[in-house]
Amino acid sequence: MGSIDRGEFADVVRSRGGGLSGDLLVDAVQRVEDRVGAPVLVRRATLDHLSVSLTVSTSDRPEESDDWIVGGSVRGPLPASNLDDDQQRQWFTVSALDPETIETAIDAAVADSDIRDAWASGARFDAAGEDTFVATVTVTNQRGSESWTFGPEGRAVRSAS
Amino acid sequence: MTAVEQHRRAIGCLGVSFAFVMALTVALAVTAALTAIWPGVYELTAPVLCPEGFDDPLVVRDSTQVQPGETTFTFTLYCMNERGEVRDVGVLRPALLVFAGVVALIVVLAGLLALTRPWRRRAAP
Repeated sequence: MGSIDRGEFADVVRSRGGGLSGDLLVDAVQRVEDRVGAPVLVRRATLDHLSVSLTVSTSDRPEESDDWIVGGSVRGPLPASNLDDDQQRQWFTVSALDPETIETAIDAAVADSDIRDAWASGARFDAAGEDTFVATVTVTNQRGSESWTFGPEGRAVRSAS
Repeated sequence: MTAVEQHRRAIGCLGVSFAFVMALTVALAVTAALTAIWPGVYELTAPVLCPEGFDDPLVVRDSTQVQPGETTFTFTLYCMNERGEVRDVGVLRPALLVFAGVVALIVVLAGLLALTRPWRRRAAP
């Protein structure tokens, strides 16, 4: 009485489009920076409606990366494999992330999708150069899914279904 | 101050302390019972705990089987906006706020009772 289970909760989130939040991503990077005590170079970020998984480095040790999981709490660092020279040149910082642009792009992907009653189930942000990224949003329903990619400017380009 | 007055003051302090501890104990029991019977009571704390723009509170129930025949439930308050974005308020803060509300209610009721002082009227000739 007065409460719902996790399945019903997920249904409510889906019915509203998936709830992927640009603020959650920015907040997660900032919370990791608070724990690290320095600005971080983000290599990859994966976003769902409740948590963010991050792979980050610091500028003084760019070859080393750590994984963090940020939700209700901050879990990490979990040491990850070392990065090669090419990977070290690809990063983005929290300043490259604009929550409104990210959310607008996610909403556009859901709205423009051919999938009926779709929601955005996740988004992945991969560093793609110096302080820039490519984002991949997964739009899905019970029957299938498709991926949309967009850059930091928020222009969505449909990719493989 | 005479010895009798000191004695009365000590008894008075003891009584207030006892009443305070009793009020907290009763409040704890009432909060636990209230949450178990109606977990939606956490939603009443949403105006204080939910961030701006996250106006839809939802209490989500998680059940964990501790051992065969024993299941525990955890109630977590989430605040949601129109896009389905959620903010995890957690368990502790809503529970503490409900507890504080129950304590306040008990204090108000005790105050009203003390003001009316029915036992003194009955004792009067």
